[in-house]
Amino acid sequence: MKNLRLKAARAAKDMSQQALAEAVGVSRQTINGIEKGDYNPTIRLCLSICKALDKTLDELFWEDINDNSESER
Amino acid sequence: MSIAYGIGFICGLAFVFIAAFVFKKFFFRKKAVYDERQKIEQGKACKAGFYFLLVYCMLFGIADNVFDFRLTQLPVMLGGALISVMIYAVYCIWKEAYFPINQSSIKWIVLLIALGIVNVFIAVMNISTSPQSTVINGMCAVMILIISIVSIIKLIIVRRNCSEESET
Repeated sequence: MKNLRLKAARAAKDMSQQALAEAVGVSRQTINGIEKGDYNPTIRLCLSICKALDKTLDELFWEDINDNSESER
Repeated sequence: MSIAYGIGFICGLAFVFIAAFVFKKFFFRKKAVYDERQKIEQGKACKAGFYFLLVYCMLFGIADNVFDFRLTQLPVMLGGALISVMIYAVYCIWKEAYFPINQSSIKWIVLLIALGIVNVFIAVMNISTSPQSTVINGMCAVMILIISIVSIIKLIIVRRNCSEESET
């Protein structure tokens, strides 16, 4: 599943994928993979990304429970 | 094989190890760092290379025993090993898991191209004196140059994607 919140947060900070990757200590392709939904990061990496973008885990990575229950109805 | 040849071979090998150690000490000082995704992709690449080698050895055994297909063993077996290494390298390069994140990929590409050229040179030099050496060095040169070409292509694609992203 695509992570559009991560992409939006990165864009809000005016950071390229490369810049975020360097800030977090991973490769650009890893950030690209996370945004496209091709790669599931570890908690440690999630926390590093949150710290770099000044966001919380809920804001970037956790699915909204209310959105899920509405879609099931 | 004469004693002089054996001594020369060992000295040559020792020289290569010392040269590699010195080269690494001066040109690649930083310890290679791979991120978590790269390590996973390297594992997948290793699996692909390993399974290819298994199938290759099986086919070689069948060709040799069932069909009595007498092939010169060393170049054929080395060919299988080189192809499996190439599969590993090309997979990793395509998934951007080959080069460490804290080292310049261009330095590695230049080194690979230089190694490929050296192998081509040695292969050509031994055409008349040692055909087997020509084949072996030729195969190594082809493998190294293919890896270099794939690296360059991937580098161009990545840079183009980065520039497109910065424009949008």
